[in-house]
Amino acid sequence: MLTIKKLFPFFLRLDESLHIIERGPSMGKLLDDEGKFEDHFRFIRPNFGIDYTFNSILDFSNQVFIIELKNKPTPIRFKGQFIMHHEFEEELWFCGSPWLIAMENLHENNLFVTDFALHDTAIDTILMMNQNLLSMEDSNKMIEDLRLKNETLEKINERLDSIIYAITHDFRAPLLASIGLLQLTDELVAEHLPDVLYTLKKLDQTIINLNELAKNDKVEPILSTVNIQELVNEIYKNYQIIFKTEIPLQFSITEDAPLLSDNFRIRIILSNLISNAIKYSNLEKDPVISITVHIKPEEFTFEISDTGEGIEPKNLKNIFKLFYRGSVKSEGSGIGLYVTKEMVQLLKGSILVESEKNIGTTFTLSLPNYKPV
Amino acid sequence: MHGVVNQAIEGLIIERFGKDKWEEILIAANCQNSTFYNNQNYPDSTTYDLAINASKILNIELNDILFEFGKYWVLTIAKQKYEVLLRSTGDDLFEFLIQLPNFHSRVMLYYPNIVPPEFKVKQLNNNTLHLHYYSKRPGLFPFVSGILEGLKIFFDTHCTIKMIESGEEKGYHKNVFELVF
Repeated sequence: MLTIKKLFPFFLRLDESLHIIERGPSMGKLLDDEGKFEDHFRFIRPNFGIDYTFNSILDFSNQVFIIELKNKPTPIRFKGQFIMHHEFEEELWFCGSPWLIAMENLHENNLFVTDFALHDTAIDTILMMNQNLLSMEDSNKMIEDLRLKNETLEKINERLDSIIYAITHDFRAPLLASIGLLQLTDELVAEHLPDVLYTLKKLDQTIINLNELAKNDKVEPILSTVNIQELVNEIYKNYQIIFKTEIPLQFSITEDAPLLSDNFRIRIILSNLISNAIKYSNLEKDPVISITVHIKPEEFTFEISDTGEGIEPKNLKNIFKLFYRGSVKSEGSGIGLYVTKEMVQLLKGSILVESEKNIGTTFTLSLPNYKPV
Repeated sequence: MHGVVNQAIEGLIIERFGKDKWEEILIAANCQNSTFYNNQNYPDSTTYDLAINASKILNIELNDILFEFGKYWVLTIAKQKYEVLLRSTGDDLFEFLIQLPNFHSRVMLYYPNIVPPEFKVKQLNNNTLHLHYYSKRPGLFPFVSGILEGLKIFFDTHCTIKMIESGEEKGYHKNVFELVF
């Protein structure tokens, strides 16, 4: 009997009237008292044509039995077989084990791995189910990885299309213009040299912007303290010199906390916004540029308004698109605001624009103020 | 090596040293485009390259970092993915270790292509056992030491763990750990 107990710790011994006369040690953990088989169990399979008699069960002894232990908060099913012992013909033995599909089911029933025979595949089934869950987790992770990669590829593709278009049109036009001018007579070349220089500088600026765009994708943000006041003053002064203007700046700053962000990107974002404000100011109408900065512990807002020519309402939704220019007269490369938007997104911020034709434009930038690690 | 081992290396480095360091280690180990999944097998060389480069970049002894990976594996990865399995032998490290060889044998059934290490447990008395670890992979005993340390914490068990033997047997790298409860 010790062998049976070890090999089938969930066994049942039934007498001719189907009284449980013995149960395995592990079955004992689930079934408190012995009594009649049908008081504790019901047949799940076979179900039709079987009744709770010795001979009826014997008739089905060539079939796999699924029996359910009733009277439990959650009924437990067992898979096994009934056999008539060759030495005890007046007894039916059930040899099987609980059919559990999750490790949690073991705990629910106060069972442990050690309650099962070593040869029993019930534990392997539970382990397989656990592995299946992990495989599903892997599949979901793979799908998400693919989705993200696809999204990145689509974006790169779209950008490549725009860049190829720009190279064939925007890059070639200034080059052809410069080549044409340089083929004129010496006197005319001398006269037009400033135009050539201007055209080539514009082209250079486009390349600088494209380089910034490429860096934005590759360089991870490096957080450090940003001195906004100093940065705004420096950028503003530089662009006044570049555009040879002296537009008054109304600058106000409220600092409730130091600003922690990515210096490289903040500098490019502010440079693009400030240079646009200066570039598109209407010099004939006493221009003024106002910048309002508020650094809160959680957030940094930067608002810049000009009194320039403004943007047509129909163009407003397109100004952050790559190589988009509001008009043919536009002097920009069509990259600056796209780079700005990309960098703002990477820093998990937002940028809004409001504009009225011939009144002016306001950009409102909002970025998180990062916490020191 | 199974993906969950590489996940432990990834998890520990990101948690303690940051994502940038992990990226640096991935590049140095020449696997910058790898994602480590639960149920995937990866070449052993990937795991070794990750551990060796982590040791160099973080300036931590290789054995020390392997120990930390092992401990982290139990306390985070295994706790998250196999907690119920770990407790399926009871709330007792002693019982769990007795069953350890069986778990590894079972793992071979559903991953026929992997070569898990083999364990043998000798119970000397009611509070001492010797855990024999055999592996085709060299140099991973600090990882096993870390796993045992992690298990000790997981089961909240008071015991001493000591490596008492190290060598080779029939082409396997062998280490024996003594645990006194």
